[in-house]
Amino acid sequence: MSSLSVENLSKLFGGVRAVDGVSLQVREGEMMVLVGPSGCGKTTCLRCIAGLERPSAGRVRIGERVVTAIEDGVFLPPERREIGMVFQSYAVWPHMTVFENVAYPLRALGVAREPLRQRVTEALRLVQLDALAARYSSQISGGQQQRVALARSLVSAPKLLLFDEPLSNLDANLRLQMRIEIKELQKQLGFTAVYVTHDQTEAMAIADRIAIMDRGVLRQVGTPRDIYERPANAFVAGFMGTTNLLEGTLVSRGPDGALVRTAGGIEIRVANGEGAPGEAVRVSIRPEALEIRPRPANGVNAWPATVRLATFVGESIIYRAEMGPHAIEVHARPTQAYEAGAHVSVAADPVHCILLRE
Amino acid sequence: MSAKSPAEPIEDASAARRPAGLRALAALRATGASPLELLIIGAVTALVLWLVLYPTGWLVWAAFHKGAPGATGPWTLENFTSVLLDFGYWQLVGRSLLVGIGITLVAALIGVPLAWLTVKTDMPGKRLVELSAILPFFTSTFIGGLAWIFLGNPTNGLLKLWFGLPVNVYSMAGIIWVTGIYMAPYMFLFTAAALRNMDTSYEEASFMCGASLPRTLFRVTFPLILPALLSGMSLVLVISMGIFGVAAILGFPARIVLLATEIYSKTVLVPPNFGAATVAGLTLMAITAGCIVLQRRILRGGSYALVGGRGFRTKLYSLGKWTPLALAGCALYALLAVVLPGLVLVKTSFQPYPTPRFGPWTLDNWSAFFEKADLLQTLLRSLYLSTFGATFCVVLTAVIAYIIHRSNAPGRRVLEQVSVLPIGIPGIVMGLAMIWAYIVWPIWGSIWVLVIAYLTLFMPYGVRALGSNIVQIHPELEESSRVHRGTWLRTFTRVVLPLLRPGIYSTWILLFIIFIREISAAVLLTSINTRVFPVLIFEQWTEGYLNVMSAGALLLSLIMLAVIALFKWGFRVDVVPAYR
Repeated sequence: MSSLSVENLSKLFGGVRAVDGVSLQVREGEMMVLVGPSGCGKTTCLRCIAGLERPSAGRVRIGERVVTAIEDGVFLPPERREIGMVFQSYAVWPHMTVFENVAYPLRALGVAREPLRQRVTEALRLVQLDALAARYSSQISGGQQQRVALARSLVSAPKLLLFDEPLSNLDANLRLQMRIEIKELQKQLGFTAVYVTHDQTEAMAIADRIAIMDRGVLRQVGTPRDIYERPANAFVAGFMGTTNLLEGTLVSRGPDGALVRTAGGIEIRVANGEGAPGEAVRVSIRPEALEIRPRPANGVNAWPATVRLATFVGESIIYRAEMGPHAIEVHARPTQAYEAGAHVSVAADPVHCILLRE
Repeated sequence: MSAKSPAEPIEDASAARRPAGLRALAALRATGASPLELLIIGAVTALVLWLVLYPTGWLVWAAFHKGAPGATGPWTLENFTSVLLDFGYWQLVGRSLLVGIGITLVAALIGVPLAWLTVKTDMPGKRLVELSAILPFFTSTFIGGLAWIFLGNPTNGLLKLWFGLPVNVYSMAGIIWVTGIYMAPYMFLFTAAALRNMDTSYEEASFMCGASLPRTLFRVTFPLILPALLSGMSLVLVISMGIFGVAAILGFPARIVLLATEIYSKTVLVPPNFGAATVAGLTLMAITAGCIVLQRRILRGGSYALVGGRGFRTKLYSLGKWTPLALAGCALYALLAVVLPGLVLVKTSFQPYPTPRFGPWTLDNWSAFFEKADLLQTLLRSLYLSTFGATFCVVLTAVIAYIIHRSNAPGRRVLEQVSVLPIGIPGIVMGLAMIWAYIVWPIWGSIWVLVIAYLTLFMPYGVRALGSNIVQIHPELEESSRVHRGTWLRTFTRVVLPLLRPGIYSTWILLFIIFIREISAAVLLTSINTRVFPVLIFEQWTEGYLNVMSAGALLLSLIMLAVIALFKWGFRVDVVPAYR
């Protein structure tokens, strides 16, 4: 039973389809991250779920309750959706104390004084802000404001929590720390969440599953590992981390995999994949899946290459190399080092060579 | 990826079977708006449409009919033909335009350099200069005009007797000059705001290209703030075309008639000629509306985007050897606009008759306001009217501005257009329109006519001022309330209003001051029982009690200054917390 169900959600702005037929099921207690380049419709999608934006078509169900069914004339205002939301700007009200900010949803619900005080204190303790309850937002830091926003969204124990790029206004160190805290809170409290970000590293770190959007359309949904290792298309492969995309033609396909010949005449063995011989395809190989070693190039999927540029970045060396007509990137351990101009061989396990159609 | 889930129970499954009326209601509900929200939006829109369109509609209708207010006759074009075929009428229109444009130029020539000196240079004593440039804004052209009677009349004006200057304020030039110096604060405020917002790097880039200061000023700085300058000038032109007070006290003695005073004469003097007054009113309104349309047309091409957003510093130009000259110019303005008029009013208010001499002295002019029952009543009436009027106007315009900027109600564009329309309606024209529209209503002859007139006329100021404050409130602050169980009403009262409070206070002062000094509409709408203070001052002038008039003008100024001081130091309105 999914905790959030989005069906065929579309939103038109003027003639532009900001969200185009998105369907998504989020399970109870799951952290679903919506990720994509800016302008891909992920925030619009989130705002439609929140009821801040009225979609042009589609249905949204939170738990057992249908909150949006445009075709049936159902559209609940945000305050009746029983959700919590953390905004990009924190949206901590400057004219209220930290305590009053967090108490706001409970006051609207008419919770009595004593239980209200207990629940607010509890929520503030969760985000380690109980000592600052009497402060105003101008008297606390950006990271603390973000925690206030988090406590406020949690305090009424909503069925669903929405995060709209919550960390993008924080500095890099704080972002890493808050990311971990949000993840831990989610595991501890077990809430269902939809989290929007444009940062794919953040998405990978925090998600149970990731949904990748591009130009209003959902391109792939899966666990971070799935998406990274088995991207469904070139967009996903390129967006989630760096990759080498090699264009070619499918030569043959057998039980042990397929053979692709690139335009430059290089043959690549691929462990899995579909398609008919003669079809134009692409092969995605992650830079860290490539191995760099001395010549000669022996064995399956080993090709001669020439190093053009070697950049030492600490945990690895990033090589820019030429493999026939293809420019490729290789991330290798710094134990081996080759100078620019070195003649080397580059190899990849067929399992790590992903065949992409379309 | 999503497997089609089985059909879920829908809350509103019966929607399609309901009667049409309920379906329409359901469709409205489906926009996410609560019934209360829809009710408030509907009521406010209806009220604004009524306030603006009912009297102006009456004015247009009346222009095509014979008769007088309350007794309109058959349809006719006579009002137009009798006036428009008269060459003298076109002279009147031309004269009014000339005066309006002259005032605008005087205001710009004073206000723009003052603003540049205060914002962009290292001139000493800036705070004092700024104060003297803003003070006339808070008094009024009318009070300034009264003071200038003593300074610049051709027989015993002080400028003539003391300094030998051949000045005559009872002339076109006099009207232009006196109104111009009191309209200069508008230009000052518009220009100063634009200069403060401008990124200095645009000017620095010009200097780096080898341009001199004058070249930079005229090729970079002024073109960049041109939209603001044009906005200011069109506002000044619109206001000065409709000014009644100065045009009357300086124009009548010299038999110089302008459109505003023509409307007054044709309405008030016996026998009245409502047809001619109405056509003059429509002419004036057409001119002011034309100015506004023209300004919008010009501004559509120009961009405000030049005003950069981030990292701007204000580098101050060093005036060097020009400092004394700049200071002298500022001092001269302060002297002519504030110091001399103020002093001369004080002097006259303590004297029994107008005289250039010092003495004899008396307190009679002042005590009159507290001893004569009708004078005191008028003063109190003005205070009540302004206090409650400004309060009601702030509430109304806060809701209007909120709907315009923050709702997606279908009618909000109409509301936006109509609520700022009165900017183009001069007060005296509004007064005339109100006579036509409300003379048969039971409220006629009561203070309510004035409340309605003021509310309509000055609504745009509230909508603009509060609108710019609402825009400053980050939308997520409201959305956060909606998501966290706050209804529309709760969001407005618990989040929007508190965040808007500084803006509400400063708008209230602005409206209070505009209300209490207003004369143009009031002069046509007050009777002996609803007379307001500025009209009383005007009556002292018509009856020749110039010394009582001086005391009254000073009293009015003191009230306005006291209210500003109260808000500034009592409620610390200027200390605006910087909300994100």
